[in-house]
Amino acid sequence: MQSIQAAMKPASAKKKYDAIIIGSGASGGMAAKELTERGFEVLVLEAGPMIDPLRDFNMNKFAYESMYRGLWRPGQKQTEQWMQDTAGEFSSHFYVKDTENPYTTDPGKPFTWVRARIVGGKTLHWGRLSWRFSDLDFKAASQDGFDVDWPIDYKEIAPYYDKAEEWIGVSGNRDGLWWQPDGNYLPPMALTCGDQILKSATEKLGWKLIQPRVAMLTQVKDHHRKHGRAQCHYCGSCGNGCSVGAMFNSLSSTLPAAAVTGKMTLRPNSIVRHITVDQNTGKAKGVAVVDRVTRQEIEFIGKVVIVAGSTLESTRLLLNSTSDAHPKGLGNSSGVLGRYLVDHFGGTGASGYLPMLAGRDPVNEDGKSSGIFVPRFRNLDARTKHPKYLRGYGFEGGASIGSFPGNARRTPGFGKEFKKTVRRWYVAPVSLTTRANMLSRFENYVEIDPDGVVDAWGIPVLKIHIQHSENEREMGRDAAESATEILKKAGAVEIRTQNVMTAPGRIIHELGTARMGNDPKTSVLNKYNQSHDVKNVFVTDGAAFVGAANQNPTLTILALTIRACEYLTEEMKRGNI
Amino acid sequence: MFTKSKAVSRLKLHTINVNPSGAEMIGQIESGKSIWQFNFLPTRARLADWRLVLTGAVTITPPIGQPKTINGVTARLLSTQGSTALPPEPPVGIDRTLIPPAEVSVNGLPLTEYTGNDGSIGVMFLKLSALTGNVAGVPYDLSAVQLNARLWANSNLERELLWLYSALLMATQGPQSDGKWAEGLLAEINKRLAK
Repeated sequence: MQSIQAAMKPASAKKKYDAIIIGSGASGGMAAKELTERGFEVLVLEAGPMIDPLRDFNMNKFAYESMYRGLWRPGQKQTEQWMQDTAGEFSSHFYVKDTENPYTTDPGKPFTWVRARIVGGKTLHWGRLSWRFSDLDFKAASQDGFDVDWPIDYKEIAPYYDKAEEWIGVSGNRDGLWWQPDGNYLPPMALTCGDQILKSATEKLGWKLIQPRVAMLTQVKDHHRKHGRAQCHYCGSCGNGCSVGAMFNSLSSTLPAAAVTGKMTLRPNSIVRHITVDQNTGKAKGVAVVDRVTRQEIEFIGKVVIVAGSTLESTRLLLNSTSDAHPKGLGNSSGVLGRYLVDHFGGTGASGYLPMLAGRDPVNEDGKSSGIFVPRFRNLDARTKHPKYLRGYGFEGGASIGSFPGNARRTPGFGKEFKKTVRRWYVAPVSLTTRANMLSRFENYVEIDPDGVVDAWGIPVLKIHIQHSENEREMGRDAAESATEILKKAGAVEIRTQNVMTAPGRIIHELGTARMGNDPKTSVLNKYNQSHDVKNVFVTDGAAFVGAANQNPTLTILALTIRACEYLTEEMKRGNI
Repeated sequence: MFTKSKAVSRLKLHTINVNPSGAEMIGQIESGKSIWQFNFLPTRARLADWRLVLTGAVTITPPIGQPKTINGVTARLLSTQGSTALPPEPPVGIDRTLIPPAEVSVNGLPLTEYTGNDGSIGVMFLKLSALTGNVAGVPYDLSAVQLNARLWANSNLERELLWLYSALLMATQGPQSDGKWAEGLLAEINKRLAK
């Protein structure tokens, strides 16, 4: 933290930075680290405030310490942060207030846009699951004919996955699944007793169940220790801010590494209105910023602009950056900017109880927040081809005792018998929920709200258009049936099949809208995350994705960012930027 | 909530966040430690170019001094944000033909939560007609304010209006756009605003 504080020196409007990085989350933090370590003088602009882990992280708080028992001040969610489903009382300050940061949707087609304007971004509360994509994902179109392939293959990106995993620290197993490629892992977190029962049942059905690969330190290496990161102590409170740096976030990992180089200036509370353009060259000149607190309008200049504000904020910024040279938005000569929005979907799945665990003595299982993962088992090859949909899904879930007996809400009765029943089944819950691939479709898109809605700073907001197709619905039905089948095989009782898909956005894996590709007529970025139209602009977050796969995207974002920074460095050396 | 306007010396207030209180929409304007109460009481609803327009009175109450009321203020619906919570039940006592059939699952396929007729408005974004001059000492330029009306319903009237506003949006801008349906809904809204 001390090194980051030192980086919060006044930013200069006169200085020409080697690179301006917009955003301080997963991608922005990694770009800052990579570029400063290569000798770049960078300015990192974060729209939200700085955070003090000692003051703002609530890892050690328990619900009973709160007036609202870890929930919300009555009315807070409805009046300030209606859409932030994942935020709790101890972490609501990690999220934006929707009142200041609105967006619009079509009637009857909601989108849940969860955002974190704060130094560290969504890495402060992310799910930490760190999967590699494989050529099943990068080359999906070659296999099933839908949409287009990514312009990269697994072999090209594998070395960058190695680097990202090594730096952030990922615990897991090498499972030897070709479609879920292995990396170099720290020791895995053990499965619980219930997880083992689930594993055995899943394997009897011919599918796999593996330990999740999570960006949590089960072993500390020198480069972790150097920045004060410590081993996970299984408190299970990751979403409230990890004070020991065991879970990867940019605040405890990449930003300190950038800060110690002395080459990073970090400016919080800096909302970028638009990217400024040199009218003669058409290249980016810098950024126009409004200070969130003082409302001062400032411009900063840089040789390169790295856009890493999170998928939809990055695309909003590009769409708002219109000029004579770029009338449809910066880097949008293709007209594809804003198109092909996807999010994973969940919601479908199953839950129940494992009777063989009922009535056992409670044990501390809620500290291991990793659960289990059932990797995709549909449409891997001809043998596993599903007749009704393309692509596939995996299951997250597990069977572990939580700190709160959630089953009490569904248990009828009262008094002694009620308590006895709750205690008996509280130690035996099991559930599986889907993480599924949504197809990238042109008709799912974002645009600047055509009716002129603005945010609290007068900046035009996004209108988001997205719907699930029959492909997702067929996949959702199959997932619900498969989850139920696994639970039945495990001997679970009182199985409840969930058959409603989450509204788009709720899984917080919004991706696409500034896709990469080889053809400038059909894509926004080249395969190095560089704008086809404006060579000194790079978009390194989830906006660059061509497809969603079914795996969590952050590790791929980190790997692509490292690769983009390496390419940028070489291009600058060659004088091409 | 504001930026400096190039045209005038005062800071421009871009948005005011309001919540329902009955038919009224109430919020606050802040400047330093001073707070002005903001109330918009619509008394009439109509459609203009298929957009809801509410007409009513704005009352601004300064931290010290008398409230100022401005009549005939219009708030034109710009756009909306869909809610991700279950919509309220249709109001009792309205013509049942105004209630669209619930969305049904086709061939047992899952539906998506809070979409179609299972959805409702989370926020209405309304453009307020210009408030000019010295409005109860508010130190901002109020010439182009956007009301962000978050429809958190706590009373029967608020729930009814939320349902009616949501249905009206579907009737005017949804896939089942229908003038007759919209007229019926507008009449129901006006009944409630006139109370």
